[in-house]
Amino acid sequence: MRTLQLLDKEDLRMVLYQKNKTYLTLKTIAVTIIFELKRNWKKFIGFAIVSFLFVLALSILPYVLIPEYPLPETQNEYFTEGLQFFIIIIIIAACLFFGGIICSEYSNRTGYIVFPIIGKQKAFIGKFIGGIIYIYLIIGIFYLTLGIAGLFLYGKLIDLFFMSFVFALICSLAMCCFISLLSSFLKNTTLSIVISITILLVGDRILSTLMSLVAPDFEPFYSLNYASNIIIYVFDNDFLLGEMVRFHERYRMGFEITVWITPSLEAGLAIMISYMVISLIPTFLFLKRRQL
Amino acid sequence: MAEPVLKLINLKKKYGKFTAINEINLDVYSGEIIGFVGPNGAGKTTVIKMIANLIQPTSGGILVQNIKGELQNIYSKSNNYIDFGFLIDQPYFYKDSTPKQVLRYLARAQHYPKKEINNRIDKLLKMFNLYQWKDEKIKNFSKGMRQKLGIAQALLIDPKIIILDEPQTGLDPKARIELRTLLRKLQRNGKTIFVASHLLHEISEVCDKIALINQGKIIAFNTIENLENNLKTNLIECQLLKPIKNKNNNIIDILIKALEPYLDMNMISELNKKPIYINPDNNNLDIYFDGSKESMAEILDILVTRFKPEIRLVSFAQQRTSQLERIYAELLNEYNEQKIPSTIINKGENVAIAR
Repeated sequence: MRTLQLLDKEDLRMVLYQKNKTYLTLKTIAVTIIFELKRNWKKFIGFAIVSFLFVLALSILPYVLIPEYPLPETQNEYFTEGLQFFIIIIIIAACLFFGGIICSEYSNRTGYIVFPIIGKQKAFIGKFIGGIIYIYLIIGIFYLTLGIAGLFLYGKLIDLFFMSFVFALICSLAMCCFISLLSSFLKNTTLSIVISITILLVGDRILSTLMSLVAPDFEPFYSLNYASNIIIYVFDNDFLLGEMVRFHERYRMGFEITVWITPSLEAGLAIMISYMVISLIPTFLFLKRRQL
Repeated sequence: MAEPVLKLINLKKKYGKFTAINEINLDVYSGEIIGFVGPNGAGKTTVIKMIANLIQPTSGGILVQNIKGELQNIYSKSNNYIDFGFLIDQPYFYKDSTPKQVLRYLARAQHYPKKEINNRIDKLLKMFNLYQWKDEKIKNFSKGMRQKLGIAQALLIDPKIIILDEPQTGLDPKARIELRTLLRKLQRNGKTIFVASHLLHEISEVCDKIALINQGKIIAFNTIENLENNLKTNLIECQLLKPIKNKNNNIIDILIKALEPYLDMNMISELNKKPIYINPDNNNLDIYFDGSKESMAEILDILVTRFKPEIRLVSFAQQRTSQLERIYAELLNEYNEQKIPSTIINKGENVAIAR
């Protein structure tokens, strides 16, 4: 009798599940990634267009349309200028893609449908990978446009351009992990987006300024914005040699302050990786404990 | 006796000092429809959330049958238990998605055979009259449509156990009737169904057993018939052609005297301390009698022959729903006053209520 029961479709599916548990777990995550990509494609198209237009408006059109506008002498300088505002786009994109990654399931109560079926962790991993794919594509479009422009204007591409691209990918990943942490305990998506943007765009800089007054010799290893400067300063010829002057001192309103420009390559990567680890561990803990 | 497919053992959930669920024991057998009934805040959704693994109990456990037919802890890592379908609270979906996209995602995430997904989705959407909106964004859906979609997703992979929390919420009367028909059909197909509701009359018609829950405790768990029989109070609702002229309760007293041998004189009702009263909502005459069919016949006979000028009957019927509602109200009342002996609190067996 039991054997007959085992032959029905559902039981066969469950037997299959036991045999291929890892495969099916990965499949669930893959299905979630695809769903997440389909859900957010309009947002992605918007950012892709913004990225493209940003490069076009700031790094291509002025040199093509205005003959008096001087083209930087080296490609290093050209890319350094072209990437000046890049981090702002990435911060805003990351906040919009990741601000609601966890809290929206609670505030919109979609978790009641998704969590019993997929599980919190698998749903989060799927959504995270889906989001990071779009962030990487946005970065890719930015760099591709800038790279084509560099190739067109200078005839070849320097290797440092690719290194900067890799740093941008690592930095955005760290940013997304940090925003996911905020989303894991904040109440709703709007609050999460506002707080993330405030911290990453404003709070981080205010803290750095205060620290430069209070402890001028203390290098701001706590700052993700500071770490992200390696994306730009990698184009300095002395940076990879470790000979670059990474800070300068200034007097402002009678105070001597130290302005830190960029961390060393190793320190920058260490800050980013630390952000990832320190953000993701509590994110999973909060996710596990948070109740609908 | 067959093993239950779902077993709640001393299930307890505390939020700080507040005990939301207090030592609940419940056995659900294959093919049963269990009604889980209680007032708002009784703990119904909390129990369902624990079954859905959305929250963990403070103590106790939930066992579910696995594919080998053995009971297995729902929180164990090897989740090879039989499939569940859930509708928890009011369903909310990703607003910018369409029903087809969401159902397809949920079906694929649950490893439903890929070739059959489209047919299954179409079938469910047609069943719930949502087919013409399958490509519309869910943000444009009404509450009732979202509810129907929620029930559809609970049935998506044809699960063996279906758990529905207030499924009738937001549905129009026609859809409610269709839902009851659907539940019966699912039961005939061997599904085990667990329906939570605060509206007893909505689910009493389809349930094999009803578990009454109040303040986090199950105060009764039995078949509807047994619940009624053990309380031994029954209601006849008499619809009258015109309202009774009842000066100083005189006619009621005369009626009670005339029908006394057939009435339930020990009844304790929150509505009236007398076994006969005029329902102020509809001017019907409500008579609480001893429950026997002979008594019912005698009461009808007396009303028709001896009270003809004052009382002219349009209908004379035993109201099952009203009785259940009254049982429910009485049980809650008695439980709150601690009149129910501890022996009738369910201990995992199907215990009848005895007074």
